[in-house]
Amino acid sequence: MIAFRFNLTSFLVAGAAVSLLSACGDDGFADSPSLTPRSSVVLDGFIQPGLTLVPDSGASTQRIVLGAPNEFDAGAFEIRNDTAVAASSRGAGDLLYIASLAGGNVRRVQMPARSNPARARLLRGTAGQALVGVPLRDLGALALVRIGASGSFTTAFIGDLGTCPADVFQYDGELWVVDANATCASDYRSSGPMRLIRIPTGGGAPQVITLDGLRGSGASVVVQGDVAYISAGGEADFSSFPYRLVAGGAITRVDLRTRTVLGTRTMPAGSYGASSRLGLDGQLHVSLYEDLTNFRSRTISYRLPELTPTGTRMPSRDWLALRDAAGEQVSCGSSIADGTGRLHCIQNRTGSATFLMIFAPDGSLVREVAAGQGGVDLRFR
Amino acid sequence: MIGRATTRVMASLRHRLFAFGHSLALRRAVVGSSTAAVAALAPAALLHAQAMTRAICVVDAATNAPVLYARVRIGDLTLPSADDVIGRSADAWCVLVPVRARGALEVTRIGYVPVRHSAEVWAPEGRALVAVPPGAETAANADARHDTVFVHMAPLAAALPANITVALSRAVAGAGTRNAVTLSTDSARAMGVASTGALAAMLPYTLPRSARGEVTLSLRGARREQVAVTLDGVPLTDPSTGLADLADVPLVALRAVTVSPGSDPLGAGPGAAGGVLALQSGGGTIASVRVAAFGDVATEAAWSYTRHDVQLRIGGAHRTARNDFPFTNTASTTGTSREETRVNNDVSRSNALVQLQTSRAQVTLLASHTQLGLVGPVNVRDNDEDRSTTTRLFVRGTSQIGPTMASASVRTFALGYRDPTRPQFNTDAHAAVAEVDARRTVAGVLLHAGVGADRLRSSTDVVQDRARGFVSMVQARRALGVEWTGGARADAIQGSGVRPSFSLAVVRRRASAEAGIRLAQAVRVPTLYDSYFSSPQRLTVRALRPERVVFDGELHARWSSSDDAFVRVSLEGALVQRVTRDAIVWFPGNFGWSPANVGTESMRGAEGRATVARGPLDISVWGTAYDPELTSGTLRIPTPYVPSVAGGAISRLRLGALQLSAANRWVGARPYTAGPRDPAFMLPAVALLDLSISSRRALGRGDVMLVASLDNATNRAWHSVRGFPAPGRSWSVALTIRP
Repeated sequence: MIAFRFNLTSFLVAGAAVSLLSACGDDGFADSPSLTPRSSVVLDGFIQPGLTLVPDSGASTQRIVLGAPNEFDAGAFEIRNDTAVAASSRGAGDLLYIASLAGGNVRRVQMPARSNPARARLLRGTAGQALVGVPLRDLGALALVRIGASGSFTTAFIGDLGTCPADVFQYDGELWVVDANATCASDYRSSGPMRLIRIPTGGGAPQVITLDGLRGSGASVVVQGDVAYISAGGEADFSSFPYRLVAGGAITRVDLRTRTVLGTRTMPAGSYGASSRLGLDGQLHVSLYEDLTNFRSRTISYRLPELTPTGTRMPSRDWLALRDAAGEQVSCGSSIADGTGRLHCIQNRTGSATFLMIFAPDGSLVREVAAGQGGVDLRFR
Repeated sequence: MIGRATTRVMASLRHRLFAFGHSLALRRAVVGSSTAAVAALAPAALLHAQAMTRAICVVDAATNAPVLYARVRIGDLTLPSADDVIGRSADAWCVLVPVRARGALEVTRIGYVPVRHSAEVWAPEGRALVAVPPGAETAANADARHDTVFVHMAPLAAALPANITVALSRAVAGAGTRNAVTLSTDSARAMGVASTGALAAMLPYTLPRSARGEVTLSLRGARREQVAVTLDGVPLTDPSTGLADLADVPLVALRAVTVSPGSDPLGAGPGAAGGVLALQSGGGTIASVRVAAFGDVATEAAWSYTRHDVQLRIGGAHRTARNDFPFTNTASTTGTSREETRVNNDVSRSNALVQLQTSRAQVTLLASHTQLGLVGPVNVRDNDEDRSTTTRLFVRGTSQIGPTMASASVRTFALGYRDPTRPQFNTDAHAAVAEVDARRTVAGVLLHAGVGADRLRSSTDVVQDRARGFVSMVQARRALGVEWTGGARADAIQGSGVRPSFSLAVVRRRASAEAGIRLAQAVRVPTLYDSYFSSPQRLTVRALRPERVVFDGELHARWSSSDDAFVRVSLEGALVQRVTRDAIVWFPGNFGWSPANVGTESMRGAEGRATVARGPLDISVWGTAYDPELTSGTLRIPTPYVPSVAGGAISRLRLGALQLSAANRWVGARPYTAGPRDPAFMLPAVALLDLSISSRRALGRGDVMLVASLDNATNRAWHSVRGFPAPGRSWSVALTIRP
């Protein structure tokens, strides 16, 4: 049993990005459900880090530059209203990025040196403040960045959150953190099953829920109602050829109300990774690599809450049968569906040129748009 | 053998040679012209018929640079003895012979086609051959009468002769086909240069850059891995990175460096798509110590010993520097500029050098060991403890048997990466290259063939081996009033098949002008696994095709005023174009993080250079305009770190023993990512100024030089690599002794 101790510190960092505050929204962050997104937003994670906004129709795209490539390496981001957040790891400066999609301006917030942020999450703030949560892997801590109406911000830390906090979410006013339980400060090897840590609002001992079926160094959470769907990418040994799969990816359902594990869905045998996105169609879309040889990106759409594979799938496979205009199979990642059932995903081609591809529910390609370079994630605006 | 008069001649000639710095402003005319061997004499100077001694100066036919340690034989008389050498600097290699000496002239030097001329050709009876360079008629030698015979030796190492400017301020037309410039280390030292990287930065057309102590460069709009660096004709490019680190070559090992933009498939082989930086090993005894800002202390020395036919040169260099310079962080998250100091940026570098040479054989050994702090980009603290150790060894043996020159060389490169905070990331890599080759001239055709092998091992389980071989032929002719030089080469590379290349150059020369065109095709084979990637993760290495320069064209012209013009002026320019298919570019990715054949690169541009000299002042100005772009699918990507426009100038003013120098460099805005052109990902243009003052005094038969320098005198804040700031204004003082 691991004992967790709270260590709350805070400090004030002067800031003046007032315009970002309006981007964050003065009432926290409200979801805006609709069948089709205003635009798809591609996170270009390397070469020229930025956001490429692709309208749902038309050929024009908009681009927001995030920063220099040696100061940005986020592999995921999040959008709520018109605000996007992402975080760079220790190898790229330990930075939190907050971008206004409406204004196009970007603000960087320095996280502690070598804290190794895992990602950034938009949380619900209080008293008109915006709140961003940043799990700091190498510190075993969570940074909570509160942005006030004036644009100034404060950062508070919650420590003793395991060996590699990888994601954070809120439920019922409480913070929950997924600890990947891996040696993220060194070689990212798994030390055992992941853990879900509940941080009581009023203080007191955190509650730890062991997620037996989840291993790896990366995790992401989707909360739907009272259930958290926690995805883990699995563990592989990339130190020699051929790469060796140690543990495959999986998704564990946790009833947050009762704080119990409902079950775990393992990804197909031989596959690696499990990157989940909740589509506007209410389904969970999971991107993974078919194997560790060709790294062909696949998408599995799961019907919630039971995590049953759905959609037009390849014969005897769980993943979707996506085809281009010539009828050839398409490898495509970071998938997410809109409310009409169209699947949006990104594909990096020669020169890391990124294309947004949109498929009809039957898997046929209906639209393809150039969307920057070095795409790593896709969200709806 | 040589009496008092000769001694006076020696003194005056030495004065002349050194006084002119690296420029031998001598008139020449070509007689008995052939590519293999040319004896160049001076008809305009056939003025003095009563010469008492004769000086024979040996120069490289391609570069006009002196050929050190050449062996001169006249009849039964073999030269030089130690006393016969009257110019043993980086600028001249001349020996004195009695004016009555008669017989066939034979000049040999390892690496060059032997020169043989009958007595009737080189010293016809009853005619003295006298060359008096401008300025030689000084008070010191007003009554000295001597002949000077220049022997031009064709190098075996360079298949294509280069049209090279030896002096900063003089465009000396020679037999060549390229827009190239040579700078001697001696001249560079007088301008405060203390490293090979800094030497390269003084050359026109070069764009050096450095992030973590290494120095690499771009030429003619090419990526840095498309530039070949050679030492005496042998590529130094590491097979595992595709790069050669100039920082690991000590300045004391060199006599001169030549920048030669444009593909050179015949001279340097695969990898010379963008051009060649040719390092030429040096000679003589020298010692130097330099102290500079930020704890930079460098010492280097070489000792040369000559006995009979053997020259031995042993040298070493050692440099340490903290490099903890202050800089302004304009990209901090606070939104305001912040003064910071570089950390973990120290360097400790040791070099050893051994050169053994006879007229028939030569052995060169060069070793370096470097420990570096691997400073990270600004705002990234993750590398504050990372360390790197590199060890390099270069051994080359060459023997000349008749007209055939055979060489064998071995290069090794060991890299150690250490992260004290995460030992799991520690990696080691060892790369090695072995090559043997032979070349000889048959019926006017230079034949060159060789085989080699590359090898790489790393602690991350990388095992790669590659065998290769090549054969090439080059011929030069004079026909239809122009000089033709052409050749072909075929490289057989394991895993890549046989890849042909060719080059053809045509030059038409006039007394003061020339114009030419050169066309070439070239290849660059993929590098082995990049050993610089520091990760325990084994990366997927794609199978790559060699990238191919399908067209490399250069149209160049040069004009120079006469030597006795009131103001000596030279102008040169070139229009260039290059098209490269299957360009190998490293685009980051996820699991496919390795280089790939991504498309077609095209480059168009222009290069220009002008020199002006009048009395004690000479100025050299150069500029380039390139538009290199990679087309890959829908992407149009300018070549990273290549500015659209760049330029530089070097100005020197000599006031007696003093020399004042100013080196300007203008680098236009340039992209720093392999992405489409976007102002957000461009480094701003920068203008830099380095100043130096030097004083050279005679010391015995040699001299002593004191140089004080102010680098980045205007204190510009700039990055040569994005995120890696360069020092602001900094000082240095160097003392160099050449006994």
